[in-house]
Amino acid sequence: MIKLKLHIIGIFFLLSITGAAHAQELSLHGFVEGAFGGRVQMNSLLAGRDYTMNETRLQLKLNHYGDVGEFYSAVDIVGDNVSGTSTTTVFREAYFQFSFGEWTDMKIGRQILTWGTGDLVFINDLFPKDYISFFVGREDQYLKLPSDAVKLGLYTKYFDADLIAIPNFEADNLPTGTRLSYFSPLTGTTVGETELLPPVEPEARFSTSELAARVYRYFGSFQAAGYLFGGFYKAPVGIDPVIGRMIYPKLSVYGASLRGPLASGVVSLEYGYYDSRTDRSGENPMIPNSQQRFLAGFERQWWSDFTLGMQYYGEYMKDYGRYIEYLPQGAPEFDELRQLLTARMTQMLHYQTVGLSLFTFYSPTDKDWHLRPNVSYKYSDQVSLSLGGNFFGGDKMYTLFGQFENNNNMYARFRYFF
Amino acid sequence: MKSLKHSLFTFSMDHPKLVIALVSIITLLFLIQIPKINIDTDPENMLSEDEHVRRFHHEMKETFNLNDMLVLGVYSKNGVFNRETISRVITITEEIKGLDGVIVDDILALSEVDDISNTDGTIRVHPLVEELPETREEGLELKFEIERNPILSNKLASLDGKLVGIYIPIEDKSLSYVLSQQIDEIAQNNLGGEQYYIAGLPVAEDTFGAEMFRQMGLAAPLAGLVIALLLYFFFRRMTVIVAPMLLALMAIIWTMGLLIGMGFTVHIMSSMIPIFLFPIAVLNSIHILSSYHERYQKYKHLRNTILHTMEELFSPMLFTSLTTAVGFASLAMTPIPPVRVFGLFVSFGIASAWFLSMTFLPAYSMLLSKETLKNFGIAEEGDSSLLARFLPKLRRWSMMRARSILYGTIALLVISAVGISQIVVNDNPVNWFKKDHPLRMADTVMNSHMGGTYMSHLVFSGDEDSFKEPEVIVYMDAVQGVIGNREEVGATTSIVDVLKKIAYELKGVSAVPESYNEIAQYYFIYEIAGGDPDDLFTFITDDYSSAHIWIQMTTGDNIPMNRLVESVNEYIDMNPLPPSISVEWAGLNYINVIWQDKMVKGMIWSLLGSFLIVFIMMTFLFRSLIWGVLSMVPLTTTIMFIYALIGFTGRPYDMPVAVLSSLTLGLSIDFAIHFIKRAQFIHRGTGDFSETMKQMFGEPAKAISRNMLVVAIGFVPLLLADLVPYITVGMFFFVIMFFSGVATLIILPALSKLMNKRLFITKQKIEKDAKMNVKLKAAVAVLLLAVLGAAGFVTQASAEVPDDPIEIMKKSHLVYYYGGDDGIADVTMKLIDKNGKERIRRFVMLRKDMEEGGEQRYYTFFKEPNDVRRMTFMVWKFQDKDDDRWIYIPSIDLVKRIAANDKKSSFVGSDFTYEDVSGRHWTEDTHTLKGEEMLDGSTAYVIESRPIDEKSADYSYKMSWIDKETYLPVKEEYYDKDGTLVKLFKAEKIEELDGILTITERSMTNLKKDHKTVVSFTNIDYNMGINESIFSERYLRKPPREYIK
Repeated sequence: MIKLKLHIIGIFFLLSITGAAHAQELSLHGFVEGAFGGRVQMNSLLAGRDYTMNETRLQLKLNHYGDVGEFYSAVDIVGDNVSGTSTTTVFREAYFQFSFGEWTDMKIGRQILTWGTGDLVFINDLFPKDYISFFVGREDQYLKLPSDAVKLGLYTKYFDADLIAIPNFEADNLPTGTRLSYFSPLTGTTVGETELLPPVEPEARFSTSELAARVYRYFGSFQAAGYLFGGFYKAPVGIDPVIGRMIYPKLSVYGASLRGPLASGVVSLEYGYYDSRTDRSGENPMIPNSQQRFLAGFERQWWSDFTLGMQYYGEYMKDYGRYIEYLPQGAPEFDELRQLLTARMTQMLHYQTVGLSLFTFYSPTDKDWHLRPNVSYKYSDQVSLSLGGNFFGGDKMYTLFGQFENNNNMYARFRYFF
Repeated sequence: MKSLKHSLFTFSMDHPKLVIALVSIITLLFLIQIPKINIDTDPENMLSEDEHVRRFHHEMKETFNLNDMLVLGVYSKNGVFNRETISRVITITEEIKGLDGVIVDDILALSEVDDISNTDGTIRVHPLVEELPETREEGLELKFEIERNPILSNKLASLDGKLVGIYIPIEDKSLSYVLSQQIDEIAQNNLGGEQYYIAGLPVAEDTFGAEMFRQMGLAAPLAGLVIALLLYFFFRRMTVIVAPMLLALMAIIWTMGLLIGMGFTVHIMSSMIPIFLFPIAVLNSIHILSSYHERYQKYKHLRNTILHTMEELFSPMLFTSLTTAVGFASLAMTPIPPVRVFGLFVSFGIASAWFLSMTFLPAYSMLLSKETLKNFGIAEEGDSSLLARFLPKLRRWSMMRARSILYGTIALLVISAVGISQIVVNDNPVNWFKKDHPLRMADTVMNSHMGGTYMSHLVFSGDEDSFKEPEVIVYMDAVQGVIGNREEVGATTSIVDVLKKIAYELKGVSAVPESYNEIAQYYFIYEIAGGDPDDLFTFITDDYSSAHIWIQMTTGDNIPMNRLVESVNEYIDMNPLPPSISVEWAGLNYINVIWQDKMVKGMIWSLLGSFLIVFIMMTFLFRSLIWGVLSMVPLTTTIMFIYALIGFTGRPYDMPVAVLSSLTLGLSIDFAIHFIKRAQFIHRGTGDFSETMKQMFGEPAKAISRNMLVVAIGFVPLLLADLVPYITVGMFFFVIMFFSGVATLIILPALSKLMNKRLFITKQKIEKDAKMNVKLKAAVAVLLLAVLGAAGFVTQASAEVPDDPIEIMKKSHLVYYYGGDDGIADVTMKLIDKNGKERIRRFVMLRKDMEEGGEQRYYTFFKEPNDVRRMTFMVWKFQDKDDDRWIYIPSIDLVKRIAANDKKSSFVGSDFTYEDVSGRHWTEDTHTLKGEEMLDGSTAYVIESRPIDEKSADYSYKMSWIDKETYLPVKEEYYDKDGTLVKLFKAEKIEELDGILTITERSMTNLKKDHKTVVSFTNIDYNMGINESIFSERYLRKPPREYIK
């Protein structure tokens, strides 16, 4: 309780600055949020831990336009009663952005990076993500984790390009057992606590920097893009048998996408070749094989304020024969072609103050699914309320959604914007 | 009122010198404006500058690099294809190339054009005349070569070989008179036995401008002189008749001075203002002088004579001036800017003349010496004995034959109606010259021998490389065939001819190539074979997206042009255009058709409008419906008779004729007013009808007859003019004056005899009326001031007035959504729900028009509410496909494409849909003009729009109120299927920013949901030169600082 009070004092303090900041070139905005989520079924692995989310959050967005460029920062001050840690302060964004010359933009610092055409399905977007936030029902923006990066934008007559360098590897944030139980490939079972041996991240060296590039241009209304990525898997999908710990194997991705209007909707096509650099032959069962990933999506508005988006996504494993050949006895066996279907339905009502949405994932090959219903209500420009749930199911305990089968949860978020 | 009226002329009588000095100073002020004169004889200006056809014409000229042309024809009885003539033609061509203002590259002449031929299997593009023909055979070979080339045939030389043409493109139409003079000189110096002719619409137009002045300088003074002589004949006092002459002159100077001073150009129409003003200005003076003439010997006292004259004549003169002024002011209702200017300024002139009659004339009269007036009025017996003898006879006749006159009038009206139905609208600048004018002769010769000197163009537009599609080329060929088959079309040329010619040289068959590749190859062949690509690109754009058929017609009349347009339309109706291809007309000849069409419609409305106003005024003036109707009879008869005359004689209804209707209205009513007013005045004294009539046919009838004669005869000198419009005016003046005068003196007495019991009233009633008269005059004075003020609004009035609902909606769309080339604004949307709770959306909006009325780009940066702060939104709006839309969500750095078929969806939760924000294209609905309504003090068109595709809109129909002046939508009502009003749009505030009228506050109310959105625009800037690159993903992610603060 003391924590909460402190937060409130902090908020009022900051709000008073806000008033002062308005008068200057600075601007300060943000929100206060209370978010609560709880399990809606028994999970023996997480007995006694009924909250999936119980936090108070203050986000402050500060920006300043100078003569040279723009400074922007967004900082989250979070009092989290689930993790039990004291109030933490996290910079979500803190960057400086400027142009030099007519054709070049530069963005340096902590930033959120996104590209690609998928909707909650990512092929060429290999920037870090926070799946814990995603599965417990934090707001969408928390799916993306920031990267400390330098981004260079080039804009030429023939094409535009983004070149990104990320000096320090940043992994995806995956369930650790605090809020959600998960499948541990090390033990081969579903577990409810943090891995005893956490995955090993690549050493922070110059050579472990990640690089990403995108080249794109429009052909009429269609945008075509080509992507390159050199770095590591974002999840600890490899095992180093020597030390017996999970690792992030090296990865390069070469991809392309096309997006544009079709049949009164928007069609997206994306492709990526995942070059698993440490197991190009497909013989190492500890490292994933190379893959081809692709998706096709179509979104269209069917009536006023109702949109339906559907995607088909596939992962095609290279050298599947060798994968099977070298797969250890008893280890989970994945299909050659993993497929996933998604659908997003959104209906806005009452002058877009009420929103109903449902996002569904279903994999016909993994035989698992995930449902994400949500109802949001904007009481006023300042106050909003969001209610929703995350439901999972699957035949196997090691598939993406199947592993969370006992983690169904519902949440409520209340926000005040300023 | 009486004191005001009195003070007007008593002041002038008491301070004659002061008044004359003041009037002279005012006149001087106006006079010094006149040297600033700016002449404009371009009939194109008959359309406003933003008229679609006009803009399209200029766009087309630019696209295809086309220019206005003069045509020099060299004619020889014995044929032109001999060494001597051809070498002379070449020399002339060379010299013409040296003239300033000639576009040398595009000259079409024997020595300048390329021919395409097949030499030993290779296609070669080479100069047509590579060496001079030595023998008769070589000459014939050259002639044959031209005939065989569809691009040159019947254009460069006549089929009989007697005429050869040089087509001279010029930089600007306004140079054509000077250039034609220079070309004339060159031709004269170089030619031997050959005759030569210069023709082309631009020369006709420009030459008219040059000659107009000479005519005005000659005809107008001559008319003045004749009028002066007639006045002298009637009044026999030089010093007396100087007054009306000076007065008319001053009225003209005031009017022209104001016109020129306000920066208006003197157009063909406005050049006639002096001619129109002169008789009108003189009319009042004649009435006044007639009255002096009558009374002076009775009173023998100058001051009393003037005073009594002014007393009696004030009211009829006010009304005659007012009605005439209204007649002309009604021209402001026509859609043709020069005609509007003309109408309004003539009414200003009339007002000035009236004012001068009330001030200057009495002042001047006061200065007349007793000596001068000694025998004034006595001489009458001798000189006008003719009138004095004739008028009583006329009276007796009309009294006896009253019933026959009534039937006769009715019969005349019926016959006239038949005549009017025969009227043919036609105008042709060349016909402004008399038949024996060199230009007219050149026109005849050139157009009877060759393809024609009247140019129009049918432009085909499609997508890039459309004109490599065989389907398109074949279609174009077919249309060209349809056009070429019309007898008034002398020659047609298009890219198809080039293709055919190449085909002929390659394959020996002059056929359209059959495949895309073949067509593309032909274009290529033309270029590599040595052809000047610029020549190719005068027929087709360099991306092969549009092409045109150049049509030469042998006549500039608009009837054949109209028929041509119709036959092409018919063809297109029967044979649909290939997909993505559209056609549109351009060319001077076509422009003439458009404005003439507008003119006729405009004139009819203007005439009806002023007819109605005059009728109402008459009813007021006489405070009797029956007198009101009666007073309209002579003028109705006159107008109908005049138009019947035009119809029966087959004289085309052209611009000068059109304008005469107003003059007729204004002048004929004069006679009726004087007649009735005087008759009522006299009847008050006599109380007896036949006695009244006897007196009426004394001095009043004499004054009317004098006026009739002065104006009718005064304009006879115009018949001597070289320019047809002036002759027309002169002739019609004569007919109008004569006929309306006669009609007044015959029909009015006859009708009033038939109805005299109801027309003339008892003495008590008369006295009661006298009191009301005072109030009425006050009202009339206010009206007159309003007419004077109208001149000030001429600038305003030059806005376009289409009556086609589609045009209105189109124009409204352009004004509303396409103000400036780009724009930026801070937008605040206030969303108010039924409980009064407000939500606010604030954003910066940038707009750039890629094409007027077409593609647009929008960029929106959200500032409020805070949950969407820094979000950006971009739309590329297209005309023929769904919009492209993007939204950028900064918190996850996500650029998202949005499905864009949701035009009906609410924009950011407001009552405005996406479509309301960026505009629904006017072609998506059918529009019906339901009428006009007054709304918030201005007139608005009321238009009903129904979606062509019902699903495309969320309303079943929409009513729009489009302001007639600004074309902005002031109100819109959206109805559902049951006819219930569901949504209501209102323009709450309109401001002019950077010269662009903008709805800075608008609201949309949803009546069903009781929800309302008010949008206000601030910090609006137009024409900022916003770079196209702003509307890109780059700036979605990184808002442009220079625009978004």
